[in-house]
Parts: sequence; C-alpha cells; structure tokens
Amino acid sequence: MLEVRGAISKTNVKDGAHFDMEMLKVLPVAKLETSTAVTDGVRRFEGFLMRDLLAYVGAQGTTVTAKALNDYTIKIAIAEFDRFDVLVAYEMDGEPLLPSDKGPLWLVYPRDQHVELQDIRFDYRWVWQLRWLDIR
Amino acid sequence: MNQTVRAFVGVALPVLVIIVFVALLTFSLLRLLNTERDMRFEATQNMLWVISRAHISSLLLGEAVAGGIAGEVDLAQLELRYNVFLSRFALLDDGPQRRQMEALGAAAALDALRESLPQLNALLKDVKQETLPNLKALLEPYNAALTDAANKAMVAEWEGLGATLDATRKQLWQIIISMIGISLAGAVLCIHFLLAIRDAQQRTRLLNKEKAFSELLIASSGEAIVAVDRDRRCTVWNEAAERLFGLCINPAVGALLNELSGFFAVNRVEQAIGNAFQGQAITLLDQPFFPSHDSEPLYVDLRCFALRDAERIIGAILLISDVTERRAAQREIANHRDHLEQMVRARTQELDAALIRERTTAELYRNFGTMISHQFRTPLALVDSALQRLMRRSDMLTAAEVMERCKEARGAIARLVKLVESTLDAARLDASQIEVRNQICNLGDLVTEICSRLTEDDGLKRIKVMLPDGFTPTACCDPVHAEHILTNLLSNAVKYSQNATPITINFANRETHIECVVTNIGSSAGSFEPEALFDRYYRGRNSEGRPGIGVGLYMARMLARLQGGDVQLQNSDPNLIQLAMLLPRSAADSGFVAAMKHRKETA
Repeated sequence: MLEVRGAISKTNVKDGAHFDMEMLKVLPVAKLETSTAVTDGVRRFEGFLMRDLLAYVGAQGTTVTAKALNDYTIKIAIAEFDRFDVLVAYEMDGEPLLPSDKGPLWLVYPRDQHVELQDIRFDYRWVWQLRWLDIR
Repeated sequence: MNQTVRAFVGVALPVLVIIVFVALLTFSLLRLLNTERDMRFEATQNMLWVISRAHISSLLLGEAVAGGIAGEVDLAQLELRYNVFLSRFALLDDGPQRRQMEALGAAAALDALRESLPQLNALLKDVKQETLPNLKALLEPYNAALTDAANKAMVAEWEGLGATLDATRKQLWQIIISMIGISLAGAVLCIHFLLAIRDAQQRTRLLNKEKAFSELLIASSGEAIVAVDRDRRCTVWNEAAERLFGLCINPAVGALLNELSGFFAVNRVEQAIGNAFQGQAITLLDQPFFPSHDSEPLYVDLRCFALRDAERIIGAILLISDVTERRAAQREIANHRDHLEQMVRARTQELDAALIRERTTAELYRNFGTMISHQFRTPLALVDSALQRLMRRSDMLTAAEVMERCKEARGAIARLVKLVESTLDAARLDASQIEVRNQICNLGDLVTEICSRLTEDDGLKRIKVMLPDGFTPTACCDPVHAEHILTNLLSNAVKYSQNATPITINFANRETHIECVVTNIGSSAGSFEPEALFDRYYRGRNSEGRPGIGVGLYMARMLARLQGGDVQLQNSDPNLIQLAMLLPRSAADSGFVAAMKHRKETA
C-alpha cells in the first residue's frame, strides 16, 4: 500500500519499508477536520501524522518526494511536517478512502487551521492515491 | 474677516485635509484589499491541468486494455490504470470541479460516463478482442468532451486572467492617484504643521517672556507672594516671602505650607486657604505673625485667591503684606486721639465745673444779697429806732428807759456783729484759711460743757445729754471746730423747735466713727428742704422771723469734713429732726468716714 525508501534506518525489504494497512494502523491515529480545495464543505479525516511515519522509519533526510499511483510527484521539505500537523489520511467522513477515488492514502494539510496553507502553493501538495515516499 | 480667515486656515482647512487624507487612504486600502483578493488562485482555476490528467488517465486505460489483450499488460497494471481513471473521473465529477465542468459544457459527458461505469467495469473484468470496440465506444465521447472542455478551460482561464489583470491594473491606477492625493494632503498637512510649530514657537517665546516678566514682578514685589497646589504644597516663594518668613526658596518650594511656618497652621489662615480652593477671594487684616527669627510680633494682611487652569482650580495664591508699621502708626494716632478726647473731656468737665461754680457763686451772691438785705437791715432798723426814740424823748426818758433802749440797740448790734462774724467765717472757709489740729477728744465732755454753757447763758433746761454706757465717745478731731459744730447744731435745735420741747443728744459708737446725734421736735411753722439744708445761705420757710444768714449748717458740715467726718440729716420728719455729727475714731478711720459720706451723697 505504501512504500518508503531512501534515507531511512528502518526497513523491512531490501531497499525500503513496505507497509500494508494493518501496519499503518499501528501508528498513532490522528484526526483532522478541514475543507479541501477539491471538495465541498468540511471533511473529517482520520489517519496518522506524516512526522510519526517519518520517525517510525527513521527518516534522516531533508526532503520527501511523494509519488501517486498516476506518477504525480511532489517534493516536500521534511521541516514542513514538523511545522504543521500534516495527515496521511486513510478515512474520510468515516469511510475508507478507495483507490478508485483519492485512496487509499491522501496527504491532507490542516488548511482551515492555518491561513497560510490556504494557498495554491500548498494545494498541489495534497497528493492523493499516495503510494511511494522517497526520503532524501 | 481676518479672524474668520485665520479660523478657516487654522482649523477648518486642516480638518478638511485630514478628512480627504483619511478618505483617500481608506479608498486605497480597499483597492489594495481587492487586488490582494484577486491575486488568490484556487485549485479549481487550474482546470486545464485537471482535465488533461483525466484525459491522459482515460487514454492510458485504453492503452492498458489493448496491452492486456495482447498479453503485454497484467491484471494488476490494468486495475491500477482503471483506479487512476476512476479517481480522475471522481475528481471531475465532484465539488467545484463538477461546477467548472458544467460551466464548460461537459456535464453531459460526465453523466453519460457515470451511467456507463457498470458496463465499463464489466468489460474490464473480462478483457477480450471482441469487447475492445465497445470499450472504445464508451471512452471516446468522454475523451472528446474532455478535449473540448480543455480548450474552453484554456480560453476561460486566459480570459479570466486577462480580466483580472485589467481589473488589477485599474485598481493600481486608482491607488496611484489616491497615493498622489494622499501625498498632496500630507504635504498640506506638513506645511500646516510646520506653520503651527512656528506659531507655537512664537507663542512659547512670548509666553516665556511674559513668564519671565511675571517672575520679575513676583520677585520684585514688596508683598510676600506664595502659591500652593491642591495638596497645599508650595509652588511659588518670592524674595519678599524669604525675608518675611526667613526661609530660602529651595527648601520652601515643594514643602507643605504648614511645615514652613506656624502662621499657615493658624485656623483662620488654613480656613482662608480652604475657601480660596473653593473659588472665594478672602482677605484677613491685621493677622499677628510671630517670626521665629524675631521675638517682636509682626502684623500682616493676608489675601487669598484661587489659582485656576481654565475652569479648574489648581491651587491658591497668597499675598502677604507686612503692615506692622502701618498698624503702629494707626495705634499711635488712636492713642493720640484718645489722649485728645480725654483732654477735651477733662477740659469740658473743668468748664462744666467752672460753669456750675459760676452759677453757684451767682446764686450765692443772690442769696447773700437777699440775706443781707433782710438780716442786716433788721438789727440796723432796731438800732436806728432805739436811737431815734432816745433823741426825740431824751428829756422825758428815765435812766432806766434809756438803759433799756441802749440795751435793745446793743443787742441788735451784737446780732449784727455775730452775722458779720459768721459771714467772715464762711469766707475764711472758702479761702481755706481755717486750720485743723486733730487730736483725741472726749466728745461726751465737750457736749456736757457746751450744754452747761448754754444753760447758763440762756437759761435753757430742756437739753438732755444721753452719755453712752460702756464706752467713752472719743474721736480724732479738732476740739475747737467740734465745739463750733455742736454749738451750731444745738443752736439750730433750739431755734427751730417748739418751746419747752426736749432736745436730746445721743452717742453711737460705730465701727469707724463716733456719731453724736442732736434730736429735736420741729416747729409747726413752715418746713425746709432736706436736700438744700446744708447749702450756704439757704434758709427754709421755717426760719422766717428768726435771725440767721444760713451758713450755720454749711459751716458745720464743712468743718466736720475738714476733720475727716461729716454732718448728716438722719431724720427730716418735722416731728423728729435728727442731725448727726460724725467724727472718725482715729486718724486712720478718717478715710472711711469720707468714703461713707461719698456713698451716702451718691445714693
């Protein structure tokens, strides 16, 4: 479901760490209510914090390159995840996110909690159908 | 007119400019806010990219299906493409993207595809060469609609961007013009403020000059000038105050007034300052002031006024003038005036006394004349009558008759001589030519001797002397004068009493004096006035037909008083007339008798 590779210290395969949903749900559950740029109204998300995942895998780089199923790729500074409670959501409004929609994982920013996140330069970082993370 | 223009330039113009300034600033801020809002881009404005990604996912799904039929693509890869395709379709068919697609006229294609999704799903579960045309037939309208929507989105975005740029440009120009207006208004305000500062500096200079002049006036004032704040702390203390209170300005200013001098702690002064705080003007004249450095008291006039800042009373000012010299001069003038008044009063009294004396003298001479004309003429007429009879009948008269006539004439002459002596005695008394030689004298013996002589001379036997029991009536007096007084009193008693009525003499021993009271029963003929009894030349109606010149009782009283005693009428009832001679028991008691006499006359 999610593959993490690059500068990490904890791996479960040769060149990285592969997670299924069961493994991901071991991480501390985080919840967030916010509006999004591509949906109407405030949505309720549940998942885990990106910084918890990075800590879990022992990430040692400064940037994370997130890549989606459709090869959409965005580079994000790791410091950003310390500054904001960025969520990797696997549920929206109590329903699991499906691969045929924006699932199974969606990178969600606390848009309503921080005015500076209500910007197009942050909107493109909401990677849905997240599949790979590369730590550098 | 000038004042109106000045008021406009000074107040109305800056207010107007400030209003313009604020209005332009507000307008500029609103425009900037609009511009800032217009500069925000939403993700939905990036529809061209969203549509292109959906279009690509659709094309890739088609390729994956073809690859699957050819055996080049596995089922997992095909499922991945299908999921991506569905995801992009869901994105386009949801929320703001759906509304944008509707605006771009692609809603029908989306709806058609949504209805075809079960069929598409069934076709992808079993990919075959025969079903490939069906699959293409489902996806081609969708791809064509996306191509058309992408074109329209591109045009719409560019149009929107152009319109936004136009609006932003317009707003920027408005902001620039506003900024020019703001700059102009600011320039006007700056000029106005510079002029106001220059004016304020000029006023400050004038104020400082006036302040310096006021300080000069305060410093050179002869009056002590002290100002206090509401807490009664000194704020002004001039040189005159330094001299008056003996305190320099440095410790005085800032100190509490009560601590500077006890003068300010006096109730009246404290109250005056309190009243000044209430806005009253208070003046206290001739207030005593005891400076610590000088034992002599000073007198000051204090005036208190409220010290105001606009309508608010911020303290009080005290003007204190040293009026000691003026007060001393006033006191000297008052003393001089009192002295003059006393002199005038004394002189008036002297003049009144002289007038009374003059009137008394006139009355005296009038009485004297009356008395002379009557009392002296009678014996002279008797002598003349006796002599005429002797002359007319000298040849017929016997020696006895001649002797009788001569005896009558001599008796008349003797009365005349006695009258003259009495007159001379009175004159000597007036001229203070009578000497008094006081000594201790037994009045009982003196009275007894006089009664014996009167009895022998006149054959009177009705005088009864009641000598006291238990004490000897001794007095400090001149025996000659005492005899004169008693003789006079007894003569009066004999003269003005009915024949054969008793005349008694009693003694009384008083604390300070001896009383010798002569009592007789008055004659029925006429009466007398008690208050005039001792006046010189006074003769009552009861004295008609009796010889005398009216100086007997006057002489008796005067002689008694010369000895420190008195003669008083104790009872004026015609049936019981009592005349008392009072003589002091000793030389030391003469003053008491005089005082008693004075009290009696006053009463």
